[in-house]
Amino acid sequence: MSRQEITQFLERWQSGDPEALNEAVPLLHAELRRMAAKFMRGENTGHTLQSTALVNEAYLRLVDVELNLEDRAHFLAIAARTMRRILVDHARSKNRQKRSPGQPVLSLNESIMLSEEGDPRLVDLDEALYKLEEFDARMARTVELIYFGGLTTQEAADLLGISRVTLNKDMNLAVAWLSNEIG
Amino acid sequence: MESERWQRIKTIYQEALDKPEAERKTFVHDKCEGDEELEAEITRLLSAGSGSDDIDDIVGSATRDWNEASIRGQRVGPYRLMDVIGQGGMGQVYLAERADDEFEQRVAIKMANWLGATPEQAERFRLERQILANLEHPNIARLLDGGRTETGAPYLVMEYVDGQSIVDYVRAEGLTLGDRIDLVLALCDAVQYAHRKLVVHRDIKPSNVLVTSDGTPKLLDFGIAKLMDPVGDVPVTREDVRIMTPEYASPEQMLGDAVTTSTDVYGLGLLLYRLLTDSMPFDVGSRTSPEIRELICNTEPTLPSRAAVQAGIPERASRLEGDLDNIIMMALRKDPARRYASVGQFADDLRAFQANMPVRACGDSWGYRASKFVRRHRAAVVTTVAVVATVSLLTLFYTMRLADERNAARLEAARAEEVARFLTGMFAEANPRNNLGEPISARQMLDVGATRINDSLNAQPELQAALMVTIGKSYLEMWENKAARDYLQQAVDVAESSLGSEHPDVLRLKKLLGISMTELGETIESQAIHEANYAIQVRTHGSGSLAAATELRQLAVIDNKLGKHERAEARFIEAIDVLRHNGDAALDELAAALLDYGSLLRWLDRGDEEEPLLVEALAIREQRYGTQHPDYAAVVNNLGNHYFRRGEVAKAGEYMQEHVNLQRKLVGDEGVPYGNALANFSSLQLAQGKIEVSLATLDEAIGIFAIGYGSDSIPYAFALENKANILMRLSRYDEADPLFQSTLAIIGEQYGEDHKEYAFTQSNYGGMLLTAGRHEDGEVELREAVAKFSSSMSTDYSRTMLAQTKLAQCLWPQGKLDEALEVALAAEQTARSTYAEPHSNFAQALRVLAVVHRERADYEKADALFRETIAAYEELEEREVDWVTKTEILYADSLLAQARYEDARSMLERRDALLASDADSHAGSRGEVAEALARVAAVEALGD
Repeated sequence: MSRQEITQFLERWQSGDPEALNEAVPLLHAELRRMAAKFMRGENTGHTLQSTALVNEAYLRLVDVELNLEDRAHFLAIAARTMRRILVDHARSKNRQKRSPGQPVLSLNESIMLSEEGDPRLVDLDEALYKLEEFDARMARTVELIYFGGLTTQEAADLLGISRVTLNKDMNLAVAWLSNEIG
Repeated sequence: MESERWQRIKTIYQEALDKPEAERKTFVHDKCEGDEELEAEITRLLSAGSGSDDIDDIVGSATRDWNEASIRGQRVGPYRLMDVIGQGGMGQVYLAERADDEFEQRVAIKMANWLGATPEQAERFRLERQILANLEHPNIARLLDGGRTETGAPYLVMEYVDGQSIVDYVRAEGLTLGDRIDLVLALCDAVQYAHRKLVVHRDIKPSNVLVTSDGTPKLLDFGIAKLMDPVGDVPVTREDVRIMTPEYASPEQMLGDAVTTSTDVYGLGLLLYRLLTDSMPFDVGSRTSPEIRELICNTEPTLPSRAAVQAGIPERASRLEGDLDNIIMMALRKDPARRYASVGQFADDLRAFQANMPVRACGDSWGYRASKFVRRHRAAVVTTVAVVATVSLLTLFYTMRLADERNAARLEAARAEEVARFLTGMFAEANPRNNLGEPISARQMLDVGATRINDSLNAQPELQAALMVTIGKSYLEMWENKAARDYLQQAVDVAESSLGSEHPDVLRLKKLLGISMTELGETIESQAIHEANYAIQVRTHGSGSLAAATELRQLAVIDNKLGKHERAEARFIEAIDVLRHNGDAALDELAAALLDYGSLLRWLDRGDEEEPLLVEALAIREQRYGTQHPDYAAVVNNLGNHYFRRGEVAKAGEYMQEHVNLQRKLVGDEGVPYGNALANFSSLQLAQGKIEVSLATLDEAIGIFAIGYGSDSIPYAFALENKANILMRLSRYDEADPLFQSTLAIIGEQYGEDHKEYAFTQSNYGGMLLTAGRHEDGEVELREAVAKFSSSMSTDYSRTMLAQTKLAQCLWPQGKLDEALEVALAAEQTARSTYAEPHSNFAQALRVLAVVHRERADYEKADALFRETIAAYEELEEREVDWVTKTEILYADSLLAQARYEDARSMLERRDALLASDADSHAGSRGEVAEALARVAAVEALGD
């Protein structure tokens, strides 16, 4: 795995090969996983700096700084999707582990037990996003780019080819809808 | 939901948002036109408010969760990581325990990064270790150990503080204002202690202070701490600011000004502010960096008493008003010179406050008092410095400064290396051996890369040269020899002018340039380059060095091409010997040299000696890369070809089949190496007599080459020529003809028309024209081929001779007997001087000369040569029996012309008897013999 491969996939993707994205995701996945060790609990617990910082770091590490703004946005879009998959997979696998029969019900260390549990809210959010995607794909993508990919509203707007005003309006509604959905 | 409905919701919702809040309800109601469900939905959305923090929180906590899971259980030195407990300025902090379980010890491990640290990070860790080693204080987390992980990442092992952040602690314990101040006082003591050791913490903030369950605060993370310049200031690097949390940065840090003990006064002031007011003096929120800088550097903080009211704790405001406001505001002054002159003074004032004594700090009014403050601060600064400055520390300081400069250089180097690695990888991927599906895009990528490097890396000649090497190599790997040469010529000029002519990368570029020239047939120029390189390498590293042997190998390759086979062989043997003594580093080069030497032996028609070389090369590559690797596959291919040439068709078949399978696995069925494997395999099938199958196999290969290499590439041309040769054997001359012409056009374009390969194809083409009976056309091609072969520096005897024999055969049917004789004699002469042992080429040359003599009615000479030819064929392997037969038939024609019917008949009858013993495999020949016998009878009848 590595930045070379990812860069290569990126180049292919940009030159119009849609398969490249699918091939790149597992690689990016591995890279993000490896980098996870770098990102710890931040200053304020519960702040998203985490995943967006991870994606930005991935960008800095994987892609030559000479890429232009548009390329960067493309990369971040892949990274955002990957980040989402990674997190949801992780959350799901934890919940599955916990629910699977034959597991000891009691743990000696209650606190470890607690931290072993995945965040069900993320799975809900993911499912809600899929729902949203069905009737408003652009909006779902915007949420993904901003919350999982750490794009600024301007970058996301550029990537989607819409104005920042439109994007902000979209986001207002998307967030309101998602909040209702998972609330 | 239907998208139509969603669109309606969207429109109404967004329009409603633009209305004043009071009007929204009515607006939505009107717009929904009685659709109550719709109205309810939109109202619900409008009242959902901003849930963006929730989503932030969900994603954030899921990420943390995931991070932590991926860390647990990893080993660092003798420790096993258990959990993530924090992030410091330069790294992460983990909870860990000793992995050997000898005794239970929990520690905190701070590490830069799993993948190894940059030199800059490593330096910071070294510095932090040095700083911490000198600090032993009950309120500073102790350093226990340090080291490097297997991957080279430095780490520090520190006392594990089982506690919580000071902010959480004071809240959880419900500490009184006085207790909170006491905590800060304990920290002041620790910071003061550090200052006496000439260490400024520079990053005091709540997350760097943990309080244990017994209430002891501990200061953590001296990650961006610095040793003070005893003379006064420590310059701030941009790096420091990046690492810092901006919210807690002091104005001087934001501005990049000097950092002094005063910076820690500010940090402690900020911490106290936070603990006493439950808020921060500045609301950084989601502001941009320039806005934050403006806030920190120019905006007066809200008075703590007022902040307490705003934070909803008015009961505390009265305690803060007055002295505490003054103390905190004084610690937070923008100008370091106007803060407390030392942490000690700040602590004194806090203690005075606790004891209800008058405090030093007072309202920051301008004028007389302020200037008095300033003067007093200055005096105090000088006093503090005087206490701590010692000669030994000065020395330490200067050492540090030097180290910093070196760091800057190393940092630059590291960055360059980083970029180089990236691009190297990118091009390694683009190289067709790794990226076989898409060599065209790889070439494009390479061109882009080449331009990019020329344009953007002029300021970093070392990096530029390193990348040029990579690009040049990639062009070569892609068979883009012309592009490689043009690029490398320019690259050598650029690199040489900036790095000098003996820089390793310049030498590398020259070596590659030489290789590209060798490939293009510019052997003389190439030789000069490699000779010069070789001399330099021998002078610099000795003749027993890997670098020298590498050049020597190239020289041997050139000698081979120049026909200096003896010297080539001597050089190969020397290079191989040197490489065998250069250990594992030389293995790749050794394998390559063995293969090159093998191809020399083939040129010398000593191909039988190649086997041990191939076997050794195969073993090396298996050891280096395993069996599923392109370089391994290449040797399998060579072995297949080797046995094929030796006529061991069955063995050859095994290797070739393995090669085909291997390549399909490695590169897929559109990959160029798979195409190569197919092309070779088709030759084998041809030899096995499976002509149609062979043709189909070759067609598949040609299809792959057309896309993979391009339809103007050399490999594509060679495949076409192979196909033409097969078609020729099937007597499908009309189909073969255009293929030969395309081949010639491509080779002419790539190598030039004077190139040996062009001549070789002309010779083959001429052979086809001869077989097709187009003697005049054949003559043209073969004449040129002969001229090129014999004028070329490397006289390629066997090829020259073969072309000559074919030319002679084109000439005599046209009645050009004198010329035919001349050419055939030249061929004979070459044959006699070239072959010490019997060889089919030798026999062929004699046979053609015999025929020419016969046509010239010089029967004596003809017959002698026929007999010699037959003897030569008979000395060869069994498979030449057909040739013996053919020659005897030609000889019989000569005898016939001399009316020696009986001699002719008895010879032919003897042959027929011999062939009858193995009638099945010689059916064709027997037919020809029968025809010849009939001819003898007919001519005899006429003669009588």
